[in-house]
Amino acid sequence: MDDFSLAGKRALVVGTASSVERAIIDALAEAGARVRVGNLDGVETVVPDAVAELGGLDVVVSCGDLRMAGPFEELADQEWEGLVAVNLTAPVRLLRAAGREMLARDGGKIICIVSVLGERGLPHTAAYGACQAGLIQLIRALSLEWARRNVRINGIGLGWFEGDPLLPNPLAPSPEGKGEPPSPSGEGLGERLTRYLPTRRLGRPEEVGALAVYLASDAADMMTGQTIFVDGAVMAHA
Amino acid sequence: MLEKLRLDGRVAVITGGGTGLGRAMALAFARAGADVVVGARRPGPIEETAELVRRLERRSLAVPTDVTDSTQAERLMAATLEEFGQLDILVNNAGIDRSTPGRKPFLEITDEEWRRGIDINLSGAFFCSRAAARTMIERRRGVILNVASGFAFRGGRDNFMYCCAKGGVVQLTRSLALTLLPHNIRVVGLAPGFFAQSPALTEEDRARRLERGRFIPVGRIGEAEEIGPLALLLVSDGASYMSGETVALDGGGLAGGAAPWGVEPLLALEA
Repeated sequence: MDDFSLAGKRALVVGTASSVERAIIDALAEAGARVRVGNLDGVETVVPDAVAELGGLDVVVSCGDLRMAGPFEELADQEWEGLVAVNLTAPVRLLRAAGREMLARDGGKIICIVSVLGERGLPHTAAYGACQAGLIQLIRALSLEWARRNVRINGIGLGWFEGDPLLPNPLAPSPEGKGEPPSPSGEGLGERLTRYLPTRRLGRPEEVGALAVYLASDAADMMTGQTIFVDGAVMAHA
Repeated sequence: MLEKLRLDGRVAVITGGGTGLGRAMALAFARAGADVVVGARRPGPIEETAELVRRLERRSLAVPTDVTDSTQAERLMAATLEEFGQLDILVNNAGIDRSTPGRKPFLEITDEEWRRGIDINLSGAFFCSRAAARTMIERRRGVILNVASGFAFRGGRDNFMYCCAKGGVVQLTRSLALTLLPHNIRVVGLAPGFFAQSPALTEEDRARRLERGRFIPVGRIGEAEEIGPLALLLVSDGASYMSGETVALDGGGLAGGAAPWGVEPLLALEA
């Protein structure tokens, strides 16, 4: 499939080692890209390191994701700051560094992984959702700022996926063990969630791969500023 | 993973497939291995598209169809089943016709123009989806791709039938997705921004495109063939967890809007 070939492309994937991130790395590599994996902790140096190793940079994928849920009134400053650091500040720094590199050369493709919780509200995820909504707006506004300079920025909005650290209890306690809402039916929250999903199943990480390859490819030159949801119709539902 | 982007052994029906984006999708699907049935009102262009598909060594059939007539929509699907024995993919791409005014002063729009505009851009997609879903439900497989527009999400001055109908197409996509998911059928949408329908042949064509491109964030309008890879991704198994979603391919148009700086919005064209 020539349209989707990434032969000769140099890609950097930065995240927190989630299963979706692993699937994206595999898909980009299968399509022919040379892929370097970076850690969020070193977000200041991952871009220069990748450029040094790969000889340039055509694709950057931001996958950092700290999942956290809990009653908002119990949210500690420290928790909020930790959440913002991983979910908003790190992507901002990564995109800034990637942009500086791409703007100085021939442009490139940036892909940001975000969550449906940036667009749909859900109790106990206000703080997390606020960060995700921030990312979605970062994608829109920045895509316009760099549109004439051949840098494309798009998002992949994830619904509920296998391997999510919040599952099987999606509304489960934060790392400090803060309250899980009661389950009147006695069902696990993961089971309840699956029952409510239009597809009646969680997404599989590899189901994100083809879209990531498309967004990284030359075939997507006309697309920018979009967040595309891979969510089994969650966003379509009332 | 890349093998999921193949359509070998599948049969696709594309309405409005005689020209522009419809033809580009037909050829992209054929290159990916699908046989393609092309429906539209004028026999000439759909026969041409069918011939181009055959040159790619895929089977093809041209069926003259006015999608605003549900009987003809049913007949298109029946002809497909008769020829190929299956129907895996439906693309509702038909829309606009030369006899329907795009923009017209609000107070001057006649009842007939309103009904025709809604019919061609929305009812046709409903009729074709209903006709195709019968066989898809029976076989428990299928994908429907609805072609919407950036105007599905934004209004335009003196632009009524098109905006309202395309907004309806986005809602059709959502409700159909939820309705057909239990039958293992996905429904997705594609919202193109401004695209050239055919290659620029004259200086005047080229000048007009450059002028239009000034109002698009990426600085140019799209070429018809650029729709192919996205349409292919959406109807393929590569998008197996996507349903209900309408994806915009618009050079950044929907990311922003009327603003005092940055890219001049299309509003300037309407002044």
